[in-house]
Amino acid sequence: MVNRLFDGIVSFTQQSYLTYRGLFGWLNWQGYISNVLLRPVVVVLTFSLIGRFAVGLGVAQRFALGMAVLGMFFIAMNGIAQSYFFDRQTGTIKYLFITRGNRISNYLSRGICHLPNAILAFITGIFTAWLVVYINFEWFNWGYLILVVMVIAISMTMFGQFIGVLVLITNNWVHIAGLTNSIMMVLTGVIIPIGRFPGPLYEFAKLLPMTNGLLVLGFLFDGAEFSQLYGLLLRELITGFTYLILGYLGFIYFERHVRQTGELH
Amino acid sequence: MNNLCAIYAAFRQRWKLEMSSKINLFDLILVIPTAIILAWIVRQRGDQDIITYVIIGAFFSAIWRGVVFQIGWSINTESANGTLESSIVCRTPLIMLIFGKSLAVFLYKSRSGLIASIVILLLAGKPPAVDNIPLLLLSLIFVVISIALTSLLFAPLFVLVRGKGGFWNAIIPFGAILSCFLIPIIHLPQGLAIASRFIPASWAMESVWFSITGKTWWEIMRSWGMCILTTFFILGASYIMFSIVEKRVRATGSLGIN
Repeated sequence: MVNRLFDGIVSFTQQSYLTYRGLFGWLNWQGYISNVLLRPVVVVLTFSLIGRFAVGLGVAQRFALGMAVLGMFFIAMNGIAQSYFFDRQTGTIKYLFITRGNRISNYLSRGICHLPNAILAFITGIFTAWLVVYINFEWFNWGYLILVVMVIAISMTMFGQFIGVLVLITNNWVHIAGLTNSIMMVLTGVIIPIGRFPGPLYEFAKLLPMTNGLLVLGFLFDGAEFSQLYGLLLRELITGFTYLILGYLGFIYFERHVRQTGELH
Repeated sequence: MNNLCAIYAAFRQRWKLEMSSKINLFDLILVIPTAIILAWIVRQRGDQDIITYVIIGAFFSAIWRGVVFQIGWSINTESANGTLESSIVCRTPLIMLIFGKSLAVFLYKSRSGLIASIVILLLAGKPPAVDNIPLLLLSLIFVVISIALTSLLFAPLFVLVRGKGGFWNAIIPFGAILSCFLIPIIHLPQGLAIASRFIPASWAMESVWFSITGKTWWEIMRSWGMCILTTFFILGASYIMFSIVEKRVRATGSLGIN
């Protein structure tokens, strides 16, 4: 029993490392620095400066916070989506389908290594926000901030798995990822507070990952008590988990479809 | 004259290529969310000068990404398709041919820019207001020329830097900040503003801002003058880099990129 558990952990770790190493297209020093470290800086910079120019410093701080979180999503989602896309493009996913390998383990292993990248992207993004729009962290409880950021990162990594499977099924990474990133920017409260949305759109926005996490960050930013925000944070986690399950169902569906048709394309 | 004919031919070739590809709806749709966000931001204060600037800037910002990316990869793509040899052996300098192509891509990508501007125009809540329309139109010509010429810099740069997957994802949007499409140079932090002064589009966009807000002829002409000066600087740098790439191809018979 213990041996089987140990083997399972070893296999999961290997799969996590190998899918990351082999299927993450930006894992070269140029691509990594550009996407994980510089891109969040550029995105935060762009919207902080537009906010400062068009509205004012206070609003620009909110934009910067939102864009730092979106920077996390961009790198996590794109990294995971690539692991599915290149697996199908290069045809290596067929080797999974002919083995008895644990599908859940393979599915979950694709997201793990992208989580640290998401957090790194947030750190560079929020550092830029501090430099450009002077976000004040003095009264922030760092423990709570780290907890909230971790929950959002986990939730969006789980959502990234869902998008990854969508990319696997449609065989289109660039457009699916681009469209998802754009939709998330508009609907999750990154820039436009979701309270301004009409009823149905507001409810839809609450079903997306990142929305509830961003609300928690916003409330913390306004000085709210953390004890009042547990519910929202839990909802963020549940939302991510729901997408993770939906993604797995899609993954299984894809394998079944490939087995029935006998082809990947 | 011969060079003009070659530029026109390169323009037509690229234009046909763009038009023959399937209309990529995603390219058009993808600009809409960002435009919605920009419209919401400018709506907050409702300043007509800012609304006007962002409507114009969103148009050029959408084009910038497309033109720089497409022109940046143009030499590599031609090399992969086997058409680069014909461009190298003809008498027209490669830089002229790429300029013709960049104009075609600019025109093609202007559809995305137009959609972005229309979305902002519809959602901004107030109509745009311009203090001096003739000067604005002249300033827009400077922006178009500066984008088309600056994009030339990226064609040899993509070959020489040999950026691997995803390398340009941060560089191209940073170029949009420095070009001041959405934020006038006077509103940039000092460090960025200094770097921005070397980019022709930032001067051209400054003249756009001055035309909207009603600055004097003299100030606008100063911006145009600096735009021309920096354009020569960028063209010089592009010419040197194109020469290096051409020399490499002629000496080694390959770009060393495949």
